[in-house]
Amino acid sequence: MRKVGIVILALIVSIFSFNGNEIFKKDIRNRLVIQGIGIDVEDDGKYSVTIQAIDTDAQSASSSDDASKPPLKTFNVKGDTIYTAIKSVTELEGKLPLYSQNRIIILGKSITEENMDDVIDFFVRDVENSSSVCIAAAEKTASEILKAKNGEEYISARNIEIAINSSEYDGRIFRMQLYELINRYNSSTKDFAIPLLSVVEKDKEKSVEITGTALFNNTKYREKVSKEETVFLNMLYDRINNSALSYDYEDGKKVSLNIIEAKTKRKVRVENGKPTFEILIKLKADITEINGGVSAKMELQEIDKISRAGENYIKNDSEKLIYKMYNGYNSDAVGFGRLLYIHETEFFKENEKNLDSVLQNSKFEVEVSLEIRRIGHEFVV
Amino acid sequence: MELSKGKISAFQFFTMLFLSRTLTTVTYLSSYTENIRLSDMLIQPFFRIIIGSIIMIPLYFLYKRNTDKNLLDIVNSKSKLVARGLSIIFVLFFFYFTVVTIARLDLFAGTIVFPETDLTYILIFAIVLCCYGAFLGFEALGRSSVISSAFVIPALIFIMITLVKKVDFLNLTPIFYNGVTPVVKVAIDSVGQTVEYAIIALALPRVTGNVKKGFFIWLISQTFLMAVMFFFACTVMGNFASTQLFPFHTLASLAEFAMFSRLDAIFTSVWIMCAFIKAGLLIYLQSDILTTYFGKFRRTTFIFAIGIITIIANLFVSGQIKWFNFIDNSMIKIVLTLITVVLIPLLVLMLFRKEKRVCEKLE
Repeated sequence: MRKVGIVILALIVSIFSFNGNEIFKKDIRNRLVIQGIGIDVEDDGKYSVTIQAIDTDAQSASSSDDASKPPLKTFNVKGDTIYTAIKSVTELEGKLPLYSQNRIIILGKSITEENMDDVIDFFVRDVENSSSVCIAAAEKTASEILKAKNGEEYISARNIEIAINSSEYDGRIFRMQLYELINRYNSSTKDFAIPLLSVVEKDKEKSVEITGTALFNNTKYREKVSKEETVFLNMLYDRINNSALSYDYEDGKKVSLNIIEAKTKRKVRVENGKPTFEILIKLKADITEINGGVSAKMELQEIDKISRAGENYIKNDSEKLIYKMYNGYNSDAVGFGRLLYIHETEFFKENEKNLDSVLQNSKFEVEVSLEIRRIGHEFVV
Repeated sequence: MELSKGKISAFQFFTMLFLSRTLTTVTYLSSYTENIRLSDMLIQPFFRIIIGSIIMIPLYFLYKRNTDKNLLDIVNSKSKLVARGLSIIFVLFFFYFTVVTIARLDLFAGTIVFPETDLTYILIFAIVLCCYGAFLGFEALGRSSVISSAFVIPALIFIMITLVKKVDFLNLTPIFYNGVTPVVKVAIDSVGQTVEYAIIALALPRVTGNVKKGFFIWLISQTFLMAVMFFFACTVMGNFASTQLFPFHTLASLAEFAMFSRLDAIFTSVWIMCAFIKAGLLIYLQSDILTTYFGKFRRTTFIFAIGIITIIANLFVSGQIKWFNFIDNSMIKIVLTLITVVLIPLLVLMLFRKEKRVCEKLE
């Protein structure tokens, strides 16, 4: 009996102690569940923060049971810092913001081109922020993305996050989470890449699309690479898992592949004061489509032809992208500088201050090995 | 006037110490290692093994001569006054570590779990629970450690396995980039964080079985755990780890398995379990020393008094980062560890040797 008493007492104490004032003041009905945060800078230097949040009042009033599509509302608040701006939403809504459920942080052009240093601290310091939240850049303003409506409904931050997370199956998307960004941000080169978003209007219907990848140099936005180029960006970074790829392999004939396995090995050596990077991209893929009519059989040489053409296509486009990144945009978004730091430490120490020019003058040797695993409903002769 | 007689097996004892040290590892604060590169963190645990083995040499020779008496009992057989003086040093040392252990739990709960909540009740509740553990005694703590380890070890392995696909070797840094000295300094800091050496100094005679084997398995296993955890922290989070107050907690929050994400909840339960064992053991040892050398009151009374003082001390530290920084000081810990684990046993050994020489001369 005494033991039962102790257990009951312990339970009562734990109910009050482990919830504290949360149980009375901060239950979910009094919180504004944030789904997306967009940050822009106004002309007067103040931050303009756009918040997309779940409209809990409308949700409880609604008869719809579709929990996957909660009603959303957006707010636009301003402040000298991100925190004061977000906090000021309490005045508008009478609820305390809860950003642990935040799905995405979108940085407007005014931030990515100018003062990213000032906004990043809040998302690292504040413990409510999730380390794995997705980061994206807006082609114009972050506000435009989070306020975009398709008909009467807002395009949800959750859907944008899902689209970015599909990078696992689509190499044309370069996903970046907060912890990865800060990791690159604190590295010696400070160069990174994040997905680029834009509002696209077709037939009076609006949608938020990932239009490519934004490349950064020393925390400042440099240039955009297209979604097609992003496939090679992911390959160079060894971040590709699964993706579609199509190219011409013979006059007028196009082939589509589904990459099912990819591995990139990168090495560096310094010869005569000049680094040479060896990049070996190994791919396994299935043929999913060949245009030019249906055929019941495929010759072995044709598979080889498709394979060789694919290798050349990937090699050429990867080399083009490398040249563009280092000579055009001056961005080491795929981390070759880091490779130099790890494997050629002494050389790195000597050249740390002029790393950009060292990388510009480096030699990049790309080798591609493309293995066709399956060819679909056809047999080989 | 020997410490109370309950004995536990070497397996139970070193499992208890493993959990106790695991708490220090999982609550590792990045502020301790600000001048060291990530990959060097993987190397430093191995320096720890060497330093940890060296500082245990005086105790090894002391217990080689006396297998049934602990350090204080040995001194007590020569001088009761000196034994009482030394017992106060040990009690203060263990009390200090109890306060630091609870303060870290408080910092964690106050910063990460309930940032906007008054933690007074949680703090009192946690200390009461630890006192209850101490009240149950050495054998009960030993048994609960073995049971807890059946959850703690698989939980940590599970978290690490789920992080495998996030490993990026590009996050590693060149080894000894800033030389060997910072790595050795961090290893010494890490030894200073290990109150378990002093626990061994006092509790070893109450352990049955192959103690030597148990000690080395404990030393190697907790070093291995530390190296593995640093490996994942470095390769998964890279430089992000150094921006986090509790990097291993952040690491666990990145772990995902199928539809389950944010495995930091499992990590928190590991943390709480280890904290209960560690603080319970430390409070028990304080009460046991006090009962043995200042035995006017029962052990329960001492546990009650220690509990009250720990609550007061922790309430004072709680919520004030300045005070936390002041008490969770690695230099204080290193000095105290050296005094209790190296200096006192060394003096006792020298005393014995001198006595032996005098006896030989007389003969």
